[in-house]
Amino acid sequence: MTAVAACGADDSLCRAQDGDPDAFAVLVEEHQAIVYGIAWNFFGDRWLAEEVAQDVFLQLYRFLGTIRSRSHLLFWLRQVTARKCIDALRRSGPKRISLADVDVPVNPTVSDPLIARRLLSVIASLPKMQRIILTLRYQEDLGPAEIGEMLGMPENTVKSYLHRALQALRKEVGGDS
Amino acid sequence: MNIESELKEVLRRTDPPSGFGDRVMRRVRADFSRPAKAGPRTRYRALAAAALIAIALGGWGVHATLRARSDLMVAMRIASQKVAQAQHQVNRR
Repeated sequence: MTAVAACGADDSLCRAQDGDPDAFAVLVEEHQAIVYGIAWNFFGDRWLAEEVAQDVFLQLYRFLGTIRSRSHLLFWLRQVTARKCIDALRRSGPKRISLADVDVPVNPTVSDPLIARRLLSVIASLPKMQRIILTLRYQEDLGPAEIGEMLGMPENTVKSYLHRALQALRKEVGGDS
Repeated sequence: MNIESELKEVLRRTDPPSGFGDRVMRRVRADFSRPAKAGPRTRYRALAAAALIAIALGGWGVHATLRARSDLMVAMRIASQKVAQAQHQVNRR
């Protein structure tokens, strides 16, 4: 019996687990915007984001056999990406960024590019934990409980990080509470 | 301005630069010398088969030990009967 017959032609996860490299390439394509997006929103640096995203998919290939389902894959990718982002920053040492130094490229589809640029520059200056939690909350639309499970911290700690991050953003950019 | 809706707007999922998938697959091929032949599921199946063989061999070992013990008991019983018979004959004389 071939892998395709056992797994189903459209089940790229199953076929990748059976060692089909084309199916793994499909998995990468399906999830690259999530993984790269988290790293990009965290670092604001194309090179670092690509490096981390590649590492995540390499690790996925290594641990493909441990993935139980599509939803587990999504959880795993978000968790490993978030942890790799934090580790990469920890290795390079804490870096406080002056708002004047930040020139973050803005998504051209946003309604107000000026506000967007200002927001991104403030986000870039936040501590790493606040930054990754903001990214998971607003890019991936995850709740504090899910983020806590992902990062191995209590829900209330996540809420507290979120609260402090939003407070800092409102202080710098303004906006409703 | 609602800061949370602004954040949803700016912190979006972002596609990587073109060719990202190819670069990942190149690294996969470079890092794993045997990429497609032994996928993770195949490796787990091999491990499971090895575990079954080990259990079967272990079972056979236990069976062989029990059988040897049983043979030894029979031998000792026969020897004991012979000794008893010999002792009986000596006592009769």
